[in-house]
Amino acid sequence: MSSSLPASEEAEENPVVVIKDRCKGCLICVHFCPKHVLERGSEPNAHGYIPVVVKRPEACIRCGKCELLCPDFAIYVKR
Amino acid sequence: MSKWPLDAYLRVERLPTLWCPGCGIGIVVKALIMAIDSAKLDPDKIVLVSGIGCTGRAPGYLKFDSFHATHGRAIPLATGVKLTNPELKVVVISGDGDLFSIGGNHIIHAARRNIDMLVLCVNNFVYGLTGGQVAPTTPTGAKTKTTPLGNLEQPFNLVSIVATAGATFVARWTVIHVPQLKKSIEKALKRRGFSFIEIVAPCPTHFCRANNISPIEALERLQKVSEIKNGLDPREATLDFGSKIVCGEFVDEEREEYTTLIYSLIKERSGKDVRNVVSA
Amino acid sequence: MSHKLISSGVHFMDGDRACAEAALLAGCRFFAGYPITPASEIAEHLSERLPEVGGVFVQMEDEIASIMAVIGAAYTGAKAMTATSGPGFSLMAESVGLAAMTEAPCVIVDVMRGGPSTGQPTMASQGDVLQAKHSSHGDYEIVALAPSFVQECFDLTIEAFNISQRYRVPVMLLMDAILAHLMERVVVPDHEEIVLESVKRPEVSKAEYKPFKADESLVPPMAFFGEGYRFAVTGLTHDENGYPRISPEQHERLVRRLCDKVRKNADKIWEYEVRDVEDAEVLLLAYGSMARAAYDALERLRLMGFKVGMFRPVTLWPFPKGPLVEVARHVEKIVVLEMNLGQIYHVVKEVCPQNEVLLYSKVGGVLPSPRELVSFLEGVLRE
Repeated sequence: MSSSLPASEEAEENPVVVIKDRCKGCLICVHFCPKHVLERGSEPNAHGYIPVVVKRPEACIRCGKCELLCPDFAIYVKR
Repeated sequence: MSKWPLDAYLRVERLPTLWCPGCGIGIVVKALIMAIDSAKLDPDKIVLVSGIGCTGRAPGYLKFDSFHATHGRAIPLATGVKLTNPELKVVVISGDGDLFSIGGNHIIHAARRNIDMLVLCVNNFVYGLTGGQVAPTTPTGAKTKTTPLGNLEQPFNLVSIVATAGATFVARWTVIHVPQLKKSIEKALKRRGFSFIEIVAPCPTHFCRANNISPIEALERLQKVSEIKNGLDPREATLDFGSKIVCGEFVDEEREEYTTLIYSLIKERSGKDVRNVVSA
Repeated sequence: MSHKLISSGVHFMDGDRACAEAALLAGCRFFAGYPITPASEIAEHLSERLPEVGGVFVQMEDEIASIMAVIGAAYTGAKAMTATSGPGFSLMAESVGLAAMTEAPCVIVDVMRGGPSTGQPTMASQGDVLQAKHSSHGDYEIVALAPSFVQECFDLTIEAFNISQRYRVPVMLLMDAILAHLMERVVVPDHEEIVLESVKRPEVSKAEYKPFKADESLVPPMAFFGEGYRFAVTGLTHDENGYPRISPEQHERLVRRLCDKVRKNADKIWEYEVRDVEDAEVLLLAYGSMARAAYDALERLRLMGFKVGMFRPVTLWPFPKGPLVEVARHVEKIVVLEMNLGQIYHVVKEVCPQNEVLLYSKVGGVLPSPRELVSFLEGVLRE
């Protein structure tokens, strides 16, 4: 089910978790995700950064590239 | 409450890090803790030492004993740590300017001694923390705050220098080579001797912006121009951000390690099996 | 204690050797140094002796590397020392500040020679005295001891280690080229009589430990790397956790504590010697090797009928101003005798505004002859 609102982090169908308070919106994960699962968000976090959101959780193939390339310990694939 | 899988190694109360969005230092830090976790090292026995620069701030985010030393002087301090208690695993994490400009003399001697420590050198092509001045690794022609008309100098080949000086494990990766970097770090942590890993991570704010490339484009460039040549003579390991970045594990050999030699001498002369010189 | 340490009893040795042997007795088991005249023999002697007693000796690539290795060793739990002369100490300046800022206990021996710059490698001076207090930038305190006899090169080295452990400060031993190679009688006490101090260790759990949290003593208990405390240290202005915090309030708090831990304990650290001051009208003030010449002049002048006394500071920093002011109360003039163009002279002037303070400078690398010194002082005394 795709939506323009960020999927709840803990939701069953969401394979990848964005830790909003750590994300700086650098968009590395957005660019390197082979399946365009993530996109730039629109709501700033407490630090003024705009964290990314999981746009298409159903497309995620759990390759882990986002987790590997994130510089901020802010995204991971659920084990 | 979301917990990143290796949060146990982080001082989470200090996040988010001070590094710019898109800076690769966080990726290097991550590869380090992935390797430590994978190697099942005792976190109580790890000591991180850093110098001054953006990379030098890394230990402050990690839950290990650490010393954020003065500019260029991490390696001699780390030498004092290791020689005092050889059972400690000493990792120096610092930047290209800190380790090879002001710190240049120290790294070549530590490599010459083959003292057991791992040096992680993040090469971002500039002095980032001070605002983007030219560094000994800045590509020729590049614009920086102190080379506004283009860098006249030729950059160092870092892996070549440390290999020539005597390092017994030498590798280079970029921040997009995370699994390979983690693997090399793990290998280095498990061996004894002077290990050096250069990690190319162009500064998104000062190097990229000044040279008309976006941080994401810079990472895509790394992907495009890098090639892996394990075992290559490090003198031939080209690092040209424009056209070719040769990555890989270039040197992996065995040589007598300095701490072992020192403690053998102590045992011989004192007649005692001294393990460390920590005062009682 | 190990039988490999210097035996108690009477020995005959030079200052460099006395310093080296005393360090071993004090528990020094890490030395990092670089060759420099006239301190090289300390390193040479320790290169042989440290492995014998179970310690680490390393000759580093330069003086900066040496002092940095000493700081690393101190944080890993070793009693650590380096030895150098003026040019090497100048190189160490930034690192002395780091040791002070991170409260790393360490001993730095500076065997003073003619300066500035390369100067006179084989001749003596007292030219590094002000530098010893302010070698690095910023506000911080160190302790500096000045031996006048080879016996004191021995005793004060042990003292230096104790003070550095007690207050977690760099402590300097300011020797000079004369004492370094002068051979004199040294009495080594029974080992059991020697009192050794070590840093106060944490009493809280590892989870609760804050590396830079101090009680009223102003000195934080010290954990060592590798014990499981997993603490952070930085040269940046920092909070109790060792994390960088550079706010104006935090900086003031930290810098004041670093200075206060020595300043508020100055009277416990002061060491000095007075001679013939009860009826003195003029006070000689000299330290280090110059005090030897001053003592000789003192004797001669007394025989000539002059009422002259002497105050010898043994701790140069913190300068023993309390005791000096007490003694100076009863005299008119103070003559400061130094092998420099006036360094402690300025401190004495500041501390004794009620006295006329004169300076006798002997630069050139050698002590004044008895005739030279007595003739000068006679001139002063007859005014």
